[in-house]
Amino acid sequence: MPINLHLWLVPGLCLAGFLLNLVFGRLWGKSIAGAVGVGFSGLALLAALWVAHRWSGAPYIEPHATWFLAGPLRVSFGLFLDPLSLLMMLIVTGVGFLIHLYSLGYMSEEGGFYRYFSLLNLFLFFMLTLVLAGNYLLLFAGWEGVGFASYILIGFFFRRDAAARAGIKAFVVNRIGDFGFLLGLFLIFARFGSFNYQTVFARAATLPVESGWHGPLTVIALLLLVGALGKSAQLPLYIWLPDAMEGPTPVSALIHAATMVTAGVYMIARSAVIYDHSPAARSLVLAIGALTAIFAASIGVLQRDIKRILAYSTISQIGYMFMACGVAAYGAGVFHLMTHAFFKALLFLGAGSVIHAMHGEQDIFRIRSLAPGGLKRYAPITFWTFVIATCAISGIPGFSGYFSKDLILERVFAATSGAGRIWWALGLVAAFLTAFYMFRALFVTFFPAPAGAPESAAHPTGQEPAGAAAAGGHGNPENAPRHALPHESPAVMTIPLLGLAVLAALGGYLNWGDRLLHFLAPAFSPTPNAVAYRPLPPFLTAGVQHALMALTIAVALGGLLLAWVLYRRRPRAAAQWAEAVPGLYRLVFNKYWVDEFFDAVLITPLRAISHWVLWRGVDDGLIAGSLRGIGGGLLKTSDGLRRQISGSLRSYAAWIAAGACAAVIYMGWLTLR
Amino acid sequence: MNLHNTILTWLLLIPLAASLLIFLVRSAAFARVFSLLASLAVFALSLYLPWRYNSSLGGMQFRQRLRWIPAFHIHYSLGVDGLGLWMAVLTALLFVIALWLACRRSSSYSHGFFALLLLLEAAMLGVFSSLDLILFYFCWEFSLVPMALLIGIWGGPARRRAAVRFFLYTMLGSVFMLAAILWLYHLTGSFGWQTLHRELALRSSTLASPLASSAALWLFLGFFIAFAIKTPVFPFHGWQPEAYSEAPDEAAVVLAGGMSKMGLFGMLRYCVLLFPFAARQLATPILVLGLIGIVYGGLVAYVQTGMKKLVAYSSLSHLGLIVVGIFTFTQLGAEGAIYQMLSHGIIAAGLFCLIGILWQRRQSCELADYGGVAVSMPVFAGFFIVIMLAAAGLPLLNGFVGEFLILLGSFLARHGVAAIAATGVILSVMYLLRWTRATLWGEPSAAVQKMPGLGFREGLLLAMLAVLMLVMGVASPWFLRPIAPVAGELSQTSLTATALRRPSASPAGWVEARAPRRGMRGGR
Repeated sequence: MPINLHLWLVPGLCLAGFLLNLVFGRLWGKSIAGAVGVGFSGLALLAALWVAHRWSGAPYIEPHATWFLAGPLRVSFGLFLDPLSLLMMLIVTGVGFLIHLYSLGYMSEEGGFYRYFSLLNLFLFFMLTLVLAGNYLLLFAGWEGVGFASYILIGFFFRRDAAARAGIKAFVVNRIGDFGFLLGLFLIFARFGSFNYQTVFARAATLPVESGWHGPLTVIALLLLVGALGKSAQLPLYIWLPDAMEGPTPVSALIHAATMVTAGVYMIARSAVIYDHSPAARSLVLAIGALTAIFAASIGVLQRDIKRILAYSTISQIGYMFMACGVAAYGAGVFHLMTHAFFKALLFLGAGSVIHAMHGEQDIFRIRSLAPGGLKRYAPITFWTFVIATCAISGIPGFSGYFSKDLILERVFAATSGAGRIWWALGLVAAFLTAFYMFRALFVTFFPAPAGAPESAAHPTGQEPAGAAAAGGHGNPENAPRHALPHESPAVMTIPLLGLAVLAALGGYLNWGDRLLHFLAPAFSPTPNAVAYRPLPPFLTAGVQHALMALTIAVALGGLLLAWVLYRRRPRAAAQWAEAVPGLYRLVFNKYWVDEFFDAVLITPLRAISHWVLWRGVDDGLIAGSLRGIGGGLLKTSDGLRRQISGSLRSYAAWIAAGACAAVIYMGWLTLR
Repeated sequence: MNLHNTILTWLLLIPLAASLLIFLVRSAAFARVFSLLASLAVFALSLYLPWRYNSSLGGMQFRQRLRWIPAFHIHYSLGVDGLGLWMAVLTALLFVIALWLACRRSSSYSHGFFALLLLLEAAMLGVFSSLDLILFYFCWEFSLVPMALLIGIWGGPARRRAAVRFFLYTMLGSVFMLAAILWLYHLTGSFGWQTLHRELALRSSTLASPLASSAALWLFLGFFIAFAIKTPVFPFHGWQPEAYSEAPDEAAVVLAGGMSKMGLFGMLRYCVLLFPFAARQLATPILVLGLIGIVYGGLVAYVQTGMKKLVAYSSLSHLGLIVVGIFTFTQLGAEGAIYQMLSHGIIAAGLFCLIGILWQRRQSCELADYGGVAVSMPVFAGFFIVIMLAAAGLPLLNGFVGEFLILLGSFLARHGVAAIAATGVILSVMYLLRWTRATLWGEPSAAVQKMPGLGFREGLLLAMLAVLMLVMGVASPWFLRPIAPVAGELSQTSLTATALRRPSASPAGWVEARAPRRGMRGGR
């Protein structure tokens, strides 16, 4: 009997923090509410570290109470720990704790302080439930729970209509994904008779690898993928994530960058056995990942709102993780998930610090014009940590993102051949774009405007982009303080920045010598007879590997260089380029009009049909109309009857009596006959 | 006699007696307090049922049987199974909620309002516990009158029309049911549900049913129409939006939470259990109606401008899902359907409580009159969100359990049905979140800003509902245990297999096996 790890403590502590602040938060002041919120997330981190310390390394199952017991269905609240869930738990609690700490400073001037911390704790509870669940249904509970937490936190500044709408959009789009996820769960139960990971994987592993699109495991994998697309904001269900930036910036960092949006990757990696049996489904995962990576990166190139740049980069980076899963390199995907959690959380917190410094301004060009001499002079810690994070996401050698992105591109290259290499090439181009738009953001935000730069660089049309309004993300405008000059953030905000900067810089070395991949490998092939570690194909010699590595580095440096040239050296060039291809520029600048497309094709017709055809037409017209018709017909039949119908309600009692009499007479006739 | 065998009678007698007393005393102040006390007593007593129900034994328990009209073999016969007992508990709870809402000091209700509510409670408990078809029919019809009066006297501006429509339309359905009951008596010579069940359903699997298949089909339809109107099932919901929106909030709690379950209860107890083959033969068209209800109700709810109608159409959608659970005949689906009846009753009651609380402050149910309520009523907003999430089927709350079991069960039977039904999970968040945004979020208008926060009495009620939703969401096995036996009977797989796989062969076997007129009539 293995030792009891008390895994439940990790989510349980977050739940306790949530409940305490929910019940008592209104009574006690900001300082206690903040201390409880941060304290319980810190305790959860300690509990997670304690669990990690005592864990033996073997998959660990912690039984708990029964949730469902009906017919053949038996589902418990049991938790499960293996290398994958351990890593996820540490990421969630670690990054979560730092972001809680940061929020103390960031949210200090906002109303609803206790509400904020209790909801942030609630999110951690659901997220930890998601990653520690021992069966698919409990995972789904966490999955829906984080969806709710995301909805409510996006709409945290609920007085603003845009925030409320963005929350709804996030929840509804996620539910579209969950629709597929649910059907996938049903099919899992129909095929394997259980939701337990062990049972499902053991039974799935005995099935043959499927070819084509009709096998049961392929269909399961595709349905689960629909859920993952919604949660992880991949094509075509990514549309909610940019709008989700209406939430407070630490929320964007925690939920919409580091943890929740990567849940889809976690779920696919968790279901590795199922995806292993379906090359067709995996090829779709690869294609969607690569297309999303390049698609979102291309939009990021022209965004002006710093949070939206980061939002599109999140979508794009998760695309890389999907690519990794698509070639069955789940370890590489999870590795990138981890490094991304570090550097993207850092980027968002840095952006938050910038917004804080600029009193709510989010447009990078306006930030530049409002901070004379460059923002880096006023906020050096924010600047240098932002530089580290930018290097990490761009894949500058030595930083964490370089290791994971290089690994993914290498694995994609190794697993594809011929025309399949197009996905690898797209990934490479996306890496170039990533480096370009991230360094663009860095140069424009923190450096002084170069001589001769137009006020709205790379923005010849002159129209204001949506969502880049002043005070966009920093709370209620009336609460925002107005200072004269930008300023560095307080220590409670810079310490998390520094902590994450260390992780973003050095996190890549966790996989030195493929240690992380070896550590994770058992989670992806839990059955003994499966291959524990996937060898690389023979054509991937050291020489080819080095060539690929050089290519990745060259691409990243190329992006950096282009951004340098366009935004530091030749500030007019960007505008000239944009004017050269106005159609393409407008297409990309307006994000390919995808939102407008969905509105016009889906939402508006649906609303119109519901209103005019179904409600006014069918319901008011046909159904209620026929009722009136029946009533009217009766009225015309007899004057006496009319008196009864339109008369006092009391007479209806008499009607019942009359009916009962008739019944009794009839029954009497039956008996006496 | 001991409590075990008279408990159901006590449950009927207490509200009945309390109602009569209130009629006699004729004091509104007395009625307000006394009716709440009586309903609390009934609720406390009703908890005896799940506490002492023997789930491993299953079947009808707490039975009591007295002769009523011997000449026609009519008995005063009571008893509940797992289905009936939860419906009885739900009814008792709903009246506590309704009377709790109504007992506020500012209420202008006269004593008659409270007396009628208690009378309605007695009738509804009778519906859920009677085992004699005439007694059932009597209670069924009897429940109609107080509700129609409650709507017609204390309802909104269009109350007269709503009451008349409600009364006439459900009465129309009842006529078919009465005809079916009498015809059934004519064929079998019995009004006893258990006798009929034994003779019709259990023996039908041995091909010795006393009924011709055509007769069974017509009888099934006679019952079904009454129940489909009462529930309501699309397209029989013509009376519903108006009745829901015109009824006083306290009555709406009962109407949406409890009376809709009378129809579903009837489908399970009478349609499916008495005519299992007919139910399976007609399953496909009924499923289509249920599915249309889910999608149609969700879409129409999405474009509503008034809260009560929004809840009405969302109910249509949720009830359609329960119909799907019933008519896919799986153990999981049936358990989920019964669980969801209980669960939806509580959710619908909760939603009308929310509306009632808003109404008392703003005298409006129009979405346009609200916005920013979270500013003036933050605690209320919290409860609003919990109840809204339960309605949307968020896991760990009660709405998810039933929804999930129904969808899973129907998926096991028919993939396509479950896939269409599951669109409800998308539609429900669409209309519920739209409602939430229009009510809670945004800048409050001056009128909304003046709305006072939640009172202690209201807060306690909502807190209890929220806790109940959470408990039902995480401790579902406790609630499911009594349901399992009756769900097993509802979903007998052998029947489904025979009726669906060999549609031509099997009915022919039991159809003509016996001449219709014989059977049990000889035995009386």
